[in-house]
Amino acid sequence: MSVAPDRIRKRLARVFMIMFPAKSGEEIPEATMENTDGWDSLATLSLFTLTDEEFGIKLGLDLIGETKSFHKLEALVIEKVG
Amino acid sequence: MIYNDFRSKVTPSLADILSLGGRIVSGSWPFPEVADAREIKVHVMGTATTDMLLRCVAVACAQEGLRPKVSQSLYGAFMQDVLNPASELYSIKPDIVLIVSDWHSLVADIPPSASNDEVALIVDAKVSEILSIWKRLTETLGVKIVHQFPPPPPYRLTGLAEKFLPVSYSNQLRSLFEKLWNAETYGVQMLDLEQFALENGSKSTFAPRVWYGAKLPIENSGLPGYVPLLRSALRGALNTVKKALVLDLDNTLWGGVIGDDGVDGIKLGTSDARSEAFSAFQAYVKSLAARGVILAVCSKNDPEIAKLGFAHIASILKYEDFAAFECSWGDKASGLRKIAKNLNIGLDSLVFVDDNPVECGLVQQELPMVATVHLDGDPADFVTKIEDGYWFQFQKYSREDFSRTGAYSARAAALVEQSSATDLPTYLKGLEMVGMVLRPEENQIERVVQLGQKTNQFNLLTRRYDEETIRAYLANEENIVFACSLKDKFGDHGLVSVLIGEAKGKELRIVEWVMSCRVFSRTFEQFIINEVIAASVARGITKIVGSYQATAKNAVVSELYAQLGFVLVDENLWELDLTQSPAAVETFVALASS
Repeated sequence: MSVAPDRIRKRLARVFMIMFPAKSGEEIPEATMENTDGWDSLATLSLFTLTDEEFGIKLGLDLIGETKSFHKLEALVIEKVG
Repeated sequence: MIYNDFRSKVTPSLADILSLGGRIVSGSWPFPEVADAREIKVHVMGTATTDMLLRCVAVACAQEGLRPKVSQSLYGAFMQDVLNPASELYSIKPDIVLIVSDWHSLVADIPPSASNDEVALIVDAKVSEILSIWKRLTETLGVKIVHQFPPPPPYRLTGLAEKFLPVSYSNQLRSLFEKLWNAETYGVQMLDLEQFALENGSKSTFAPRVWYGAKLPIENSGLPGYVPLLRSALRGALNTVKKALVLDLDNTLWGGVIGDDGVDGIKLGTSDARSEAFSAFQAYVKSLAARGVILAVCSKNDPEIAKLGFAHIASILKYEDFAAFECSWGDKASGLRKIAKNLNIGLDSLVFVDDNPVECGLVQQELPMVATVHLDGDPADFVTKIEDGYWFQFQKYSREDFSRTGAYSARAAALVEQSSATDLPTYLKGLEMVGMVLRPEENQIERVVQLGQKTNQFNLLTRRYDEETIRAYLANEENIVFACSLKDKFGDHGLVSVLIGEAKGKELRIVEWVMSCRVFSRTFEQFIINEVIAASVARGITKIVGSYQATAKNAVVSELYAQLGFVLVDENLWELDLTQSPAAVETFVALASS
């Protein structure tokens, strides 16, 4: 069953805040590895696990290297459930 | 989050681990209401990436009522940290060290035709190595140790036959674990992740992809179940183990309400599935008592009526099995206080189980130090619900606890004395390291670029050169471009370091030097600089210049040039004068014969 994009963004932003509580709601959609303290590849792995749990999907570890922004993560989720 | 709610979770959520655990790891404390919690320093190290376990340690400590300060060794630098008294480990002086071993580091590839004795010799050598680590940490740091042992690899090869093949990885690990368990263990808490894998699903919790992808010892989704196991080890290390199981009666030890249904109306025995499940739970509780767990009752009941339940023909538990019997209409927090007082044990050594969520909630708020387990739903799941908390897991072996023969212990102690790994030089020598430095071949360029791009810690300048730049340096024969490979007795590490020196007249300027963190602190850096000096002298160079550019992650090499004999001439600028014929720096890496 598909999930509306605005709903995906809200749920993904919640996931994102677990990992990076210092980011405000407005900042999250524009978050990147560059502008987010503590976002390294292990943090991406954790984001993947939490996203998998939230949406009931399985994001492949081969995507970790290319997932460097909230936008990219959002696109991966939309691809699976959007 | 409210501290008592967090503390009362038998199994924390993954979000708790990643979020709260992450905050505690980074030095903040999210529970201002318990600002005075006892502080504890825990250091994590091993042969795997320990970042995620660090968060679990933080959560486990906080749930145990402790305020942790956590640290970790660099990936792969575990043995060096143990053996080098100047390492950070010794300046941190942790209260507890968690050692994480993965199976790759514990087993050897032995031909299947090897005899039992041959396998035993190899396993004994590993036992000896681990005992010497424990001995060293205990004697020099006085630290408590928790050592985590992995499950065997998740494949069965020849199936049943593998169970009886001495060389199989499973048998090597089992034998190792057993020998360590039987040895004098310096009070070490041993965590058995083979059992954990069985309970939590080996395929999902120990999926090879997370090992290959990030060298993580446990998949993230398995971390929530791991925290209670870790907590049991912390309790063992800190001598705060749970001693007593305090039980409600109605709908906990039997189905139904004794005051309403009467002794013949309660559910126990074999007449139906529900009765059978309650009987099985009683049998489990009885088995705990046989292993030294104190039993007590805390129930809202008339005591004389309550006792009748144990007169039921199918009741496995008897009234005499209980050391304290607190039946009244008062609140259960008061009942638990009385029980603790009567038994002369702390409230924090009680585990309280009840089917009523309100009673559980009250105890969690009033007495957060009491472990509370809510036994709701199907009684068939009651045993699992208690087991999930690992409340009565005693991992500590001591001679006083068990009357085993001393033969194994004596042998293990002798092995420790014989052990070669008692100081860092001996250990490094024993690695039988062989190094090679060569101008990179065409098929190595990609790896040379990749090392510079990926390496954060041993990276002096973090310049992230691309392929084009590397090729430009290679184009000038006067430049030194070293692709450095290392082998040791455990295997070939491959190309693990790159050094680029740009020749300018009589001067060589080191413009890139990176090394994979799994091999540094093994004197390979000393080996490389000796080779650089030799190559420079051959080129008529009289001075080598190196600089260090600090980043958030490369502090480990801030003093590298000083350690290699360079002289500081300006801020972060170091020089080595070759006209003075500097002596080669000591290394335990031998040059490979070409």
